[in-house]
Amino acid sequence: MNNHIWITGLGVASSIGINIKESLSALISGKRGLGPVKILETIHKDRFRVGEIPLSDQQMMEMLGIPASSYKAYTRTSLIGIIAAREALQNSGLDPGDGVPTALVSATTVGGMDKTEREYSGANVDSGFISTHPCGDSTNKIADYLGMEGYRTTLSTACSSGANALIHAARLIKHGYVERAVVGGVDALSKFTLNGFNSLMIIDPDKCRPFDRNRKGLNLGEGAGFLVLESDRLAARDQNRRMCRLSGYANANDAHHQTASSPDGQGAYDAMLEALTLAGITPDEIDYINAHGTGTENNDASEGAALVRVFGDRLPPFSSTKSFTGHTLGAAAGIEAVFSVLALREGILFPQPGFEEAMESPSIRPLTQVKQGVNIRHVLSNSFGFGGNNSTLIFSKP
Amino acid sequence: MPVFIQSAEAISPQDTFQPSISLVGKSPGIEFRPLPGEGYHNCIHPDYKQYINPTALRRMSPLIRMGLATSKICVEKAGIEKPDAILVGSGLGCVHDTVKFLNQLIENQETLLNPTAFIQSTHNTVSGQIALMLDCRAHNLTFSQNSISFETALLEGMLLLDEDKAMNILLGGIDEVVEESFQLMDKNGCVNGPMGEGSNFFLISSERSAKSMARLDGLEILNRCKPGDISRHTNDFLASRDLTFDDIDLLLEGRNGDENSGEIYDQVEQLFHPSKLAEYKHLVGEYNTASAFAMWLATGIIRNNYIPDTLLRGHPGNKDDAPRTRPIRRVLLFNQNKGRNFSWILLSHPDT
Repeated sequence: MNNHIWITGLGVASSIGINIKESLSALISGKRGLGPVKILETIHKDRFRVGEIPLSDQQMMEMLGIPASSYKAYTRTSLIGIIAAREALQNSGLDPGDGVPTALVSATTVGGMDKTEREYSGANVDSGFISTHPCGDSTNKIADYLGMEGYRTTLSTACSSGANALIHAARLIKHGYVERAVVGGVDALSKFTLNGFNSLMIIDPDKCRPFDRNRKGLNLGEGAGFLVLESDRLAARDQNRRMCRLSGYANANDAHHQTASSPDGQGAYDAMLEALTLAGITPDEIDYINAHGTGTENNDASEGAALVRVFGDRLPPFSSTKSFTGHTLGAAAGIEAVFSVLALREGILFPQPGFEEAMESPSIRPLTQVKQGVNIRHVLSNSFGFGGNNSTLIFSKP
Repeated sequence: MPVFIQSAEAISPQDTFQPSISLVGKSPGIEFRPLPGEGYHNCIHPDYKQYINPTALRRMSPLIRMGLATSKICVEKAGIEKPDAILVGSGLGCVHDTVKFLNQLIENQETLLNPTAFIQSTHNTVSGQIALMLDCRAHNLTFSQNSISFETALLEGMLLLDEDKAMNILLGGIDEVVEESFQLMDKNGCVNGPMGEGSNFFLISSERSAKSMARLDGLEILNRCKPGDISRHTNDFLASRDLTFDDIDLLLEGRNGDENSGEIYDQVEQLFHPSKLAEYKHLVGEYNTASAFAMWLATGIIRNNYIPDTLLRGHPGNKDDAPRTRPIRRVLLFNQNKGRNFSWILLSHPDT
């Protein structure tokens, strides 16, 4: 068995940037990516703030050199996924000709829904979109475009999907089933999810305020975050390529309600504790928490309760970067894993602009100002979803 | 680490969900009837009130009902209270609720939408509902990778058992078909032969007991495989387990009406004696997790040492009774979809 899971590359695309450089600069300067809908066709264009990537599908295809004639084959989900996964591969500096097949473990909640909802409208439709609808389609498109010949699969566990992709991939590497994997998640904005969350009345029409007493809900976003994970053997070939380790991971189920989290955050508590145990560290050693922090009444109270149960009155600095990107659903944990590794590598604690007043209970305050030059040993990232899915990832310095 | 199948339950377009009888045994056994060659075929549903709280039942789509009933009986029959993990594979997820919410969205032009269908449309609805039903806070994942969705969930399960993280895992493959999804696929030329659906659940364990029905001896998944490489891959898969083609008593293959896939199945078939060839999609149709139904069938075949006639390829012309004159110790499952998503699953009798 492999003792360590190494991270050697990062790639990201969201409303705050379509690469690492742009994203990092936005996170440091506090520039949020939330605004009115510009590209998605919906009647709610001016009603909600969303985290939308300011590029049309056609512009992304041009960027990627995909001919316009292939428009039908590519969903927005696939295109965003390719942009981020391509950066992760390039960023890792791996040798594509080294003969080691690269696996792809992706995650998405609604897959090709963006195309489906545009083209599905009853009986007389061109049904081509049905082949790009399944979750597995974007995974195949990303792997095919980037020439990844290894194992492929897709996790779909609602808003924790991306974290579970990392957990499955870590297990594959640990057992030697694969040696290298590109891992993360992707989702595109869709009318389906925008209206779905709106029907649940958990969308804040203004910019979201995670953990704030006056929070009104989430903002939806879109994007992708991918990381390159490698085995001990591969990572040992060139130690300079090792960014950090995925040292702890756990997935637990809240078993409380189909959509709501339990008041005491039991599932989140289980996941954090198990991940800390696997990483072999105590809560004191976590220097930054990238919280799930959606901005909904229920999530933030429940996650807050779980954080206090795990960390007591010594809660490390934490923030929800969803205040920058919006909630990108299946991509969220992938994007936040990328941000967590950036925090660790660059020694930066990301702020959460827009936060004003702490919740009544628990009265915890996310960071509102960026801090640089911090020695960060371990970062913990939470991701929770419908179906009671709770996942925690821990990233550690080499 | 050996993996044992402790229980197996299926709801399918055949009358397979009969918790009181033992799978595909001779007598009393399940009677299989080949499906008409066209269209789509929904499952034969039991009276779900026996298994699911009637208040909750009303809001549930057929897929959720199927998933809950099969997993509940699986856990009960295995004598397990709470599994150490719940793993589900589904190629298309909750199609019924997805279509319902999409139709509402279009008809009401994005206004006045009822959230129930949206809530139940996420792919992990069934695995989440199982966790609620069993009050089980354990590891819980849903995989969705076209026609290897079940296989990749199975791989996660095998690795979990191998690292002692789990002793008992509830594992299933689920998919449903509705009028809208069938019509769209049919128009797009994705339908070859009958289309089907099903919920096939298993309790797999790292510990053998008197309940052990079969042992899972191998799994191989490949995105693509050229027809010319199939025989080598099949050979390597068996050879790495010190087996030859002769050691396999039955090949249960996912052949369907897709003419382009014929050559692929021909390649596998020519490796085995014609009397050992069997197929199953004429009974349940094609769907993304049909291979989970094949695993259910194989478990019953090994447990009861009995192969229903209708499975045998060439039946009734196949006069060679060889498969039934000797014990069925090892069954190899082979599936693929249009030249992608290949899988090999090997099941053996626990005594072998």
